[in-house]
Amino acid sequence: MMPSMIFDSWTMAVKEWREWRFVRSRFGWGFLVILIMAWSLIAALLLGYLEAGPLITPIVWAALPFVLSAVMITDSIAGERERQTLETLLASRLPDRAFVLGKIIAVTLFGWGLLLLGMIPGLLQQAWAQVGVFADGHPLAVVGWLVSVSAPSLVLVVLAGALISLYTPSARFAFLLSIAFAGAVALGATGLAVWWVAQGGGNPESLTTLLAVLALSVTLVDGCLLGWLLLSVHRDRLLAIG
Amino acid sequence: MPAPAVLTEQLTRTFGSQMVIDHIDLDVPSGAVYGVLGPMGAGKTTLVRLLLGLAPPTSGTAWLLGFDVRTDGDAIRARTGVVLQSPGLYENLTAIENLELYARIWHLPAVDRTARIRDLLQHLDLWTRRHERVAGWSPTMRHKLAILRALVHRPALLILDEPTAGLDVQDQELLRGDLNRLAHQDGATVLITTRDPNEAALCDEIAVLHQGRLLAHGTPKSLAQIGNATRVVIKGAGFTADLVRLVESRRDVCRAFIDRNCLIVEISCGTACASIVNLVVESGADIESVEQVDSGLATAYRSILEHSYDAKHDF
Repeated sequence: MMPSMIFDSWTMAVKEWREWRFVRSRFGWGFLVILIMAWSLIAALLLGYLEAGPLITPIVWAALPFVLSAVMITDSIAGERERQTLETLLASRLPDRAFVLGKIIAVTLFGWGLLLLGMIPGLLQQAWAQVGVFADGHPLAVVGWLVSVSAPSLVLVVLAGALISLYTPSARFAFLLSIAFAGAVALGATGLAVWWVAQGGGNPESLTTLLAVLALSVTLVDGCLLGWLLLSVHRDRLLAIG
Repeated sequence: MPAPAVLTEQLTRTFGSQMVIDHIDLDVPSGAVYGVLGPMGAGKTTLVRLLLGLAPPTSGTAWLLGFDVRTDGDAIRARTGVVLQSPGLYENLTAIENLELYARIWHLPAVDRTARIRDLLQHLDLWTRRHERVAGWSPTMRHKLAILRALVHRPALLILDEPTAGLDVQDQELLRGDLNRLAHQDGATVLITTRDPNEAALCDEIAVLHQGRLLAHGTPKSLAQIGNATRVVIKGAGFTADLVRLVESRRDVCRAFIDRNCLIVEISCGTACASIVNLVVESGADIESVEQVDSGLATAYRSILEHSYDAKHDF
């Protein structure tokens, strides 16, 4: 049962990536990659100059990949319904859960790739200039954010987008709600970072603890959302047949 | 005697207060090409959804290949190939990628997958265009590909929702030949929904569906007799709309209409066509020739719908 589910989910994920080769944008993927990398570099220069704390800068870097992931998961699930490909797919032997899991895998791996792209140029610049995230001697904090907090946070955005797509009547509505959720996550993270600085942050140990607690909390919420999602996925709901 | 491929008992589906499928009893024999004939809004697509377990019935039940649609949807879908009204193809994938996707979904082994896809694409002359994105294809080509996709895993039951609606005449013929071969040589059952009585006439058995009710079912030959209609073709000149209304006002006339220089009158069997001809002559029209032709399924179908048969007809 389990290997079959993994195979089916992977089949769906590969299908998604193949579809994205021909991105539905007039600019194409090359433009997007340049945009994200430029954003990373400009944010690094600007925030380094402004002497922003070690948490604010990665949040800015992550903003674009988060929003893009939210857009892609809703387009992938709710959009499939509107493009009239969903019913044929669900009339096949594909399990309902494999359908949703495949899309989550596709968008999450893609989002993580964007996240890396969005951080590497900025990290390199700040490491070279010894400003921003490297200014206070917190290289570990950067790695901690990158791996343990931002990765599950992106999963959180993707899972929320998938749930929203299941419960909303149109792709457009799902799209707006998912972007709003991604924005709320970014705002919440910013608020937390500001609060941490106001609390006299700068101590590497307390920062590491904060990141660890954050990572654990977000991962737990991810687990709950995934469970909810897998329990609520059903053909009726996917097809919105009353 | 083999078990029926599709069996429904008092199958019913409502949306709010509207009854879309109204207590339908169907019995589709294994290995047959079975047509569900009905106009738009008859409930054909809802019936297909119920049979595939994509929507639950409000009451009653159905079995496909021996599996209950209420509890065994996965088993049914694993053995069924489907083409719905919308082809459901991924426009950003190539033809071969679309077929590969479904071959993987049906867990076809890699070697079998490649050979099967090649055979299918070659059969409908799509092999040379296999690496093209579907987005640039004509509706006919997309429809052909959707049908191939439904056949990729050699299903025991093939359900086609208006399969030839988007095809040109040549491809319609090819498809009909394929469906018959699939049913009669490979032993698969084919269930087709259609609005076209001429297409339904090629099925082994037909059910007529209207406003969610099963009005009649039987072989095309037996159904053709239901309407008891005969067509009289009167060739000449001077046919007017008033004359058509006058002719149609007779109780024994089902329908009358003008087609180029002909007045075509569909009359109940047993009606003497001489009285119709006299009426036309008295109206002042010139008659060149009169021909009485056998009624076909199309005429009978129209008659069934127009007379809104209350009782179910079983032939």
